[in-house]
Amino acid sequence: MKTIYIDSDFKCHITNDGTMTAMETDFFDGKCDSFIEGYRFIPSGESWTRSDGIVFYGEMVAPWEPYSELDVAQREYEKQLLSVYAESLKTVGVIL
Amino acid sequence: MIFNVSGGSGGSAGLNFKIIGATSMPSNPKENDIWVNTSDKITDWVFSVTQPTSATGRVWISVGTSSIVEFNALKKNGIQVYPISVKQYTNGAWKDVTAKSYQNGKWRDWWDGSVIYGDNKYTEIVGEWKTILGDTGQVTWGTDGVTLTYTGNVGRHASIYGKNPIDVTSYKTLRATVTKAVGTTANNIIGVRKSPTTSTSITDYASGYAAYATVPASDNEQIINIDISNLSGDYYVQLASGIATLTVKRLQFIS
Repeated sequence: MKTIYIDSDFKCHITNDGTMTAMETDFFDGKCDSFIEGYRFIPSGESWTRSDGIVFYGEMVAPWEPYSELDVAQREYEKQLLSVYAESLKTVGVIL
Repeated sequence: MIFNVSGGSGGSAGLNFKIIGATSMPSNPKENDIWVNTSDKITDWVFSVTQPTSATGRVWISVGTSSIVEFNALKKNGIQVYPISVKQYTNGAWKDVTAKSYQNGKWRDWWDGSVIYGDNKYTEIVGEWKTILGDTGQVTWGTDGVTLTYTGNVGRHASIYGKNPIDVTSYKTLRATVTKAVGTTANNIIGVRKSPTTSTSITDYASGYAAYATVPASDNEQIINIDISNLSGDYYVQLASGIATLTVKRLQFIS
């Protein structure tokens, strides 16, 4: 479970600038900061109106940045994690 | 293959189709004639995944990677075209118009973006609906749509997903018409994923979606919208219900 912060437009943030609402969710478990901050999280009981007038009722979670870019960032993050793990294993004599 | 072609109204030499703008069904149609139901003059037409430049009278035929009215655009050789929907630019805005294609001796409606509508499972689009059942899960299809029910162990569920992914590039919203939802809100989920899950654990579910919505409990009809405007490419539709009941009458991709 992760704590994220949503602003008045329901965009997700990893830190609170003092105006945001804290949300607990496991949707972003394992996700990098760039991925998280490319998402919008509308909690149950709330609604958000897109610029074309379509209304979305919570709980609704969807990217507001192109998902293809968030996916690239997440994959890069996971590659870096694997690299760190591999180095750690090397120091204890385990070669991947 | 997706291509961007622009041309004047009517047909052209070498093309295997013609676009006809009219408010009544054209008489004496030929194979692959496309009837665009409009009273506004069609000045030209464009096949494109993305919205073209605006021009009064222009018809924009959005295309994807599958269509129930796919056709070969050329008389010689072949360029396969997969039309999905039509808009026309009139009075300063793009407006939705309907279209039909004349194929195999009859006029055929274009795909309206639905993947479930009553007992229509749109297998020509999704292939088949795969079922994942935990313990006492059930999936039933009828004139009211699809009902997923699960009453067994906590944390498990009934789920379905389309075997074929849908190219969502041309769509902005996934809309579900839900006629019944029973149980904890978090346990009824509708959304799209890059790859479907065969897990029977409802707690694993939400984190695997690219976009999703949960469905509040209600015996009244609800419209559930999911914003997919920042997704492009192929995604699988997956619905799940855990310690709950979910009846979806219609599930539709909307431009």
